[in-house]
Amino acid sequence: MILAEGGLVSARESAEALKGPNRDQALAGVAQAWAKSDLEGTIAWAKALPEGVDRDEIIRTALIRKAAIDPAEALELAGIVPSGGRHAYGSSTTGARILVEASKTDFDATVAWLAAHPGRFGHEDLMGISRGVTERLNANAAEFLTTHAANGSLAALLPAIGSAILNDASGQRAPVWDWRKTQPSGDAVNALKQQVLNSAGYQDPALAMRLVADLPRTADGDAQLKSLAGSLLNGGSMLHRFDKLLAEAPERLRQPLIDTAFQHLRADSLDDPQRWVARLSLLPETSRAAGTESIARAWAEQTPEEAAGWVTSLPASEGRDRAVAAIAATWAGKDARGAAQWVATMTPGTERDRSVGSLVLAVAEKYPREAWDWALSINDPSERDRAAAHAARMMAMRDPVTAGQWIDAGPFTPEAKAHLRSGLDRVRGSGELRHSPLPGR
Amino acid sequence: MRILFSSLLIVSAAGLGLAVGFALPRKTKTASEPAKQMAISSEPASAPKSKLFRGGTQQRASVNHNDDSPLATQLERDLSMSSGVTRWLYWLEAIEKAKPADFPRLARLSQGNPTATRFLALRWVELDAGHLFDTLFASPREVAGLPFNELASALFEAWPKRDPDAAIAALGGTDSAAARNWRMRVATVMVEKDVERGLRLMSEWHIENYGPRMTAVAQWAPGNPQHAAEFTLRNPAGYASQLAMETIGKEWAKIHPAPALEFAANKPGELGAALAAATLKEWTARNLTDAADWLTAADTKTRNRLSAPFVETWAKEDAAAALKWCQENLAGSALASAVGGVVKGAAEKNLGAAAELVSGMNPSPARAEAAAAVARKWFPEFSSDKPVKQEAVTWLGGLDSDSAKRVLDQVLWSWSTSDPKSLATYLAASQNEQVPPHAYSIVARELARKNPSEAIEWATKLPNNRGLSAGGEAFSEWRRAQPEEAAKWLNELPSTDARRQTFFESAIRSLAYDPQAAEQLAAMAATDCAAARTVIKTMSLPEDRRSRLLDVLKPR
Repeated sequence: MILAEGGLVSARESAEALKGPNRDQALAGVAQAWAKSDLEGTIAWAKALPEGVDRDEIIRTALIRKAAIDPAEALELAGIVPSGGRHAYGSSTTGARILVEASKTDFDATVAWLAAHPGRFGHEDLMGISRGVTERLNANAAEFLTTHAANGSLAALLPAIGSAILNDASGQRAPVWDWRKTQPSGDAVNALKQQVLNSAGYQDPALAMRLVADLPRTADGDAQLKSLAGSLLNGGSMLHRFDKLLAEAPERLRQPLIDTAFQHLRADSLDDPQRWVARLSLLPETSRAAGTESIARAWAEQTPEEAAGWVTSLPASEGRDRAVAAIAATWAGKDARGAAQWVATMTPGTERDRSVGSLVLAVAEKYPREAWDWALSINDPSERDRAAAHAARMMAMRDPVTAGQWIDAGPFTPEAKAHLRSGLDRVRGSGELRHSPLPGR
Repeated sequence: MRILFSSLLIVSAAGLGLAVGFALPRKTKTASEPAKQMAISSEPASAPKSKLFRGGTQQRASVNHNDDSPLATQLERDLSMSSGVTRWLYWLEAIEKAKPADFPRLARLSQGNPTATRFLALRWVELDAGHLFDTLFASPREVAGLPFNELASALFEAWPKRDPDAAIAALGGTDSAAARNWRMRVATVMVEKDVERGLRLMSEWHIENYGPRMTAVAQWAPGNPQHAAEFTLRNPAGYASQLAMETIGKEWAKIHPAPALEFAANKPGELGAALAAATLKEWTARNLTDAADWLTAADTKTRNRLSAPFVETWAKEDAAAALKWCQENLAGSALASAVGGVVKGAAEKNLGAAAELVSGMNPSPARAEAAAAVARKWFPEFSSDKPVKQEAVTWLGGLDSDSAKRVLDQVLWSWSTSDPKSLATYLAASQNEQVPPHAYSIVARELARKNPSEAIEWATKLPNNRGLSAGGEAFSEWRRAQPEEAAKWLNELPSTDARRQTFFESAIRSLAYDPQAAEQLAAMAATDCAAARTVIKTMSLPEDRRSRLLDVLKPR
């Protein structure tokens, strides 16, 4: 670029004549220098560069350089190249890179442009103004937010604010929260509220607990409480916090926290199944069956044999039935043969019917013939019809004729047969079974 | 004049020496002597002028009757008229003379000069760390213009070493969220200085995603490893506790591995598992026979739980023997998990051989785990720019569908970002009906970032439903970055082309989550509004948001 600023024509010729890995870098240097005085010419030149050059990247370089001089012109032209960048890589897209420079050059003008051009930049792009937003939030959060709420640009700032309060402006969560309490409800203000709740739940549980008192006792407030509970446990990845959070939680947050913890149980977060079994008593009676099912599913992801051993120790109940079915489904997803062997040991009844139904759902795509046989072994007619319909549909994708024959020969009422056949009509395709068979029922 | 100049140099050099003294540990005090001499000998010949000139300038300068720091005012003037080393000498002189009340203005003057900021911050901490803390965190308005991060960084690095009680009390007792964000720094320093206090602070302050250095833990644990383990269990702090348990396990295994394992085996949960795994790995590496004997004699539950880390270590030396041990001693999910461990260990030593080992296995849950272990090592990590090796893709293509699915579950995201083209080629050629549907969407979006037409072209070659859905994702990505071009392309499709409707719907679904969705929908052509309404109606959105979006799409 230094060479290019000295003598553009000769620098351009030198860069174009280069071979090897430094060529694109040299061409980008020319584009940067040239873009300052003639962006249009630079873009036309870049578009005409030969195959093998990353022309879009050369154009991006020119746009970014231009953004440092004339943000509006660069922003207008951002859409002439694809978004580029990589998923979840901060400020790597075309838009984000241009916005970084533009907001450094003239933050207010950049934000005004964004507000006037809704949708021209997406969530990832808008991270490009995070630095400027962070500085301004840290300087005076209320003043900053008031200004942008008044001029209609707050919505455009939301992604960057969300990032800022998770990072270098995390100290401003409380001021942002206090500010939004003074504002009328609206999309942007509601989104801001959610951002503070999410980030506080994740990073600053003490603050999150204090915010609970501000949540209205309405359906919306209850939904926000649930969302906060989810953030406190970070979607289940921080279940190890549970005991401590529960001890510190205000009364209103306790039940949502317990419910959320059970809903988020997964193999990698179920550190000690017995501890969760003991915590079932924290759930209201009406939720215990679902809680038992959650434990069973997560435990079966870890060690299905142990989960199966536990569930057989439970008294007969809705919770046990659901847990057994969950284990069958989860086990079948990991090891269809092992699951089938386990289900085969069950005595007839609701528990077996549900388990077979789960097994059929899990294995029918891969083993439709065996799934069909399993489905026919279900005693409960509605459970059997549902499982059989699924197995038949999976078979029909490979061999519609055979699927039709199964239905004709099956122990179904004429209405059920008609229903099963109508399900097949939506399925097309053919194929052969390519898998070794499952153990039979 | 000469005498005056010499005096200034001596004072300034002394200041430099003092400042270096603040910045360096006490024991390096003698090292500041040469620095002093260098400072004296490197003073430029023009320096006396600045001292003499200063008086004249002072007379011309306007008098600030409310000057809260005459020292800072003086320094500001001096700096405005000096350059090079002289400026440093003025800085050091001011820092040396400063009282706590002078520092806020001095700090504002130091903006953009990190070395000066650091020197004055260290001096400020030495004189009155509490004053610096109050200045930074008492009122947001007072912070304006201060090099906040630099000052806070210096404060929380030095203060806990100098006066841990005061630093901890200040951070623990503050209502300032900004201050609470610095707790991690203080807790980290404390882990180095006093492990138990540091770990307890991390637990009390909910610092859960940070791993401090474990040097001090490794020195603390051998004294009483059981106490160390119990203490860590009582004070859980996420990742730090995990690292601490691993360190304790390693150290305990060097002294009394069997009691360590017996203790760990009775501690269910993540931390107990970390302790057990680290202990057993260390013991296996030191004495395979004893470790194997202990594990073989353990109850089934313990053996199942601990086999994977045991054979992982063993497999680094002898994968075949480790695999044989698994087959003889384990079954079901424990066997699958342990075989995954064997292959993980083997892959550490020889990736090609581990991949071959997997290729030679029969389809089974154990093979799927083993394949995942190889893939984790062979495919690029999330942040990598390296392309996926063709041998890895070929190996993946030779696996059974369950194992291939398990591999994709492991590497899909990292593969799609590091080398989307090779993933696209693999998916297009794959006959595996177990490929998760979102794989196509992810790769379509990644391809569209670089070349939208190519992404859509790729999607059209996929089987019907997958192609339409993946193409819709690619189109959404394209429309977001290049709305005009994308809309033009869509409008030029024949009216019979199924992509017209599907891609439009995909774009609307994507747009509905944009913070400026309402404004964008409001700007749509009237003919598209009805179709967009239909899409929004079927989406799972918060009710107030859905209402707002539907509202702007009402017929006008």
